Parts: sequence; structure tokens; C-alpha cells
Amino acid sequence: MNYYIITKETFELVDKSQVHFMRKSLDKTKRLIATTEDVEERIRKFNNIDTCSSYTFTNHSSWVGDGTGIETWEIEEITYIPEIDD
Amino acid sequence: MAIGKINTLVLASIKKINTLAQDSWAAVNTLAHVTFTNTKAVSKTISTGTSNAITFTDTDDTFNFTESEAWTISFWVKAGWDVNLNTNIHFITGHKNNTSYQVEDGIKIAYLENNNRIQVRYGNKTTSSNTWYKDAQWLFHSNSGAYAAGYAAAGLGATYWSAANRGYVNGDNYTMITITKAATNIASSLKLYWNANAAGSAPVQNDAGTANIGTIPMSATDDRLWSVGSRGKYGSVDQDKAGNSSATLYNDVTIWDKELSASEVTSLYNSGTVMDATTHSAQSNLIGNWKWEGNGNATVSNDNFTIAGGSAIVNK
Repeated sequence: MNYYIITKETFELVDKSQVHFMRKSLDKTKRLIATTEDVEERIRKFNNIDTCSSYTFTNHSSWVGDGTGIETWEIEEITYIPEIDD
Repeated sequence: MAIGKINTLVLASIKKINTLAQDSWAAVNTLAHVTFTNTKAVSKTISTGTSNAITFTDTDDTFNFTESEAWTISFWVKAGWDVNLNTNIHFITGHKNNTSYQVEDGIKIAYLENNNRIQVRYGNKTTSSNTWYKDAQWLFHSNSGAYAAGYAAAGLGATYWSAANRGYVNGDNYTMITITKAATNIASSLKLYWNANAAGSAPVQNDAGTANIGTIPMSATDDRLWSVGSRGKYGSVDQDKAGNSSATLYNDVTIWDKELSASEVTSLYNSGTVMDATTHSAQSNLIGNWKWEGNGNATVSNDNFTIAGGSAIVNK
């Protein structure tokens, strides 16, 4: 699995059937995704799910509204649904 | 004495007894109605930690449901969070006390604000790699296919659930959320009701870690920590994920040791008027009832919630 932060525009171009998780940034301009696809045009790539989650805790003001972060269980279990883009 | 006179006396006595019995029953009914009040609710502060939590530890195993048991958990919630939360709000959790993992002997009911989904999960996890869970997620903003039932049940429209968009509510702006589980150990055994509206089985279901079920069944004897408005205590986590506003309120919580039917949930909803659950037709299966009328004491069961720190009883 690959973990990326990409722009909203790039997200429109990725293969949604390979996306397992997607979270919009609070300002809705970025997407944090877990996907089996290799995405070249990215803002940031994470080595694994733990560093991905940890990044959102450090930069929580961009990702969550309660001062915490996106946890690994959320990335693993809150499945992206392509047909409703959520 | 003539037979006719005796009959007259007997009839008069029976009438007198009936009158007395009717008066007594009316008095009992009046008393019952007087004793049920619904003016208060409980507020979970957004401050974290056990010192701010709403909890009890179930030492007598009243609520130790295993994977093969049926249950129902119902509560009223008044949404106070906003749409910029972008994380999750844990409504009710019950898991093994003093544990390393959230789902260890656990049940949780949470709202995923960023996805507009209610998530229910139960299962067990005893090591970082030894886990199984059944997970059901209902979303409410898509009126198509498998999602249409949730859309119709909630009345939120295409906008996510928040203080600004509460969907179908009662006169006090509360929603009664009811989760039922059949005895079968599968995600599809979980059903959601929004007030009396059935959303059915979840459109998103995960039956994960099935191979491990035989090795780590849920315990019927471990003490479980039950929390309202936050996600319990495990590992380094201590009663967070309450949302971003203490304006979120919880009212009558009930736990049943059966899967309530749709008609029984409708009866519990009582057209939006919080009812005395001890008078419900399934009251013999009611094993926990907390009304928050002044404190966290249980009306049914001997497990009283401690309401700590900034969490408080408030006007509903």
C-alpha cells in the first residue's frame, strides 16, 4: 500500500478503484490517500501507515479539528467508496 | 338469611373490592408517571482523560456480550459538533478495562464526521497482530443504491450531520440512535435505526480476521469499561474523541440483551417523546437504563456512571 498527500486536482486523475482510504484536508485542497497505485505527482509520500498517521498528528491543524490526527485504524478501516467519492 | 340477600351482599362486596382495586391501580399508575421525568441530559466535556469522563466499570459482567449474543444499545443524542471536525466522535464504547487495544473485548459506536457515517464495531484484539472484528458503517448523504435507506432514515439530505443539520429530530432536537445485533457473529447482523426509521444492515461491512475467531472469543467475564461520549481508555488513549463541542448532549441510554425488533424500536421511540423504558413491552430484556436525571445512576442494573470533571448533568 502507498500513502500520499496529493492535490485535489491530482486526486481526480488517480485510479479510484485502487484507493482504499481518502481524507480531505480541512481546507479541502488536499487529499491524504492510501492506494495500491504508484502516484508520481504528489505533495508528500510516506514510508508506511505509521509515518503517515504521525504526520497528521504533527500537522493536525490541516487535517482534523480536534487537535488530534488521523489514526492508523481509520486509514485501515474507513474504506473509501468511489461511487460517492467518500 | 335468604339466598337473595346473600347474593346482594356478595355483589356489593365484589363491587367494593373492584372499586378499591381500581383506585389502587390508578394510584400506582399516577405514581409511576410522576416518578418518570425527562428534564436533564449529560454533557461530555471535550477535555480528555478519565478525570473528565462519563464511565463505569462493569465488574459483575452484566454487559459482557460475546460475539454470539444478541444485544441492543439505544441512546438519544443532540448533535453539537460542526462540519469542520474532520475526525470521529465516539458515542458509546465498552471494552476490556486496562487494556492495550480499543477493540479488546469491545463494542464501539462512533460517528465519523469526515465521512458522515455511523460506525459500529465489535470484536477482540489481544496482540498487535491477533485481531478480529465485525464492522458496520452507515452513511446518510447518498440517496442511491445501498445507501438510500440511510439517507431516508436520517433526513439529513446531502449535507453531513452536525449541529447545523440534525436531520430528523424530536421536539428537543435529539435523535434516538439504536443499534441492534442478532446472535449471528457477522457484520450484517448489526442494524441501525435513526429514531424509528430503519436503516437496515450497513452498506459498508467488514468481517475481518475471521480465521482468529476461534482463538480469541470475546470474554464473558472480563471487566469492561463503558464510556459515554468518548472512546474509553486503552494504551496511551484516555477518553478522547468527544467531538469539538460540549454542546453535544446525551439522553436516556438503554441496553437490552436481545435484538429489538423494528416495532419494538418504534415503541421505544414513542413518537419522539422519551419514554420510561421500564414500561416498554420488552422490559424483561432491559438490562441497563440511565436517564441522567441529576446523576449517572442506573434505573436498571447496579452500574452507575461516574460523571467526572467538566462533564456534567445539564438541562436537556
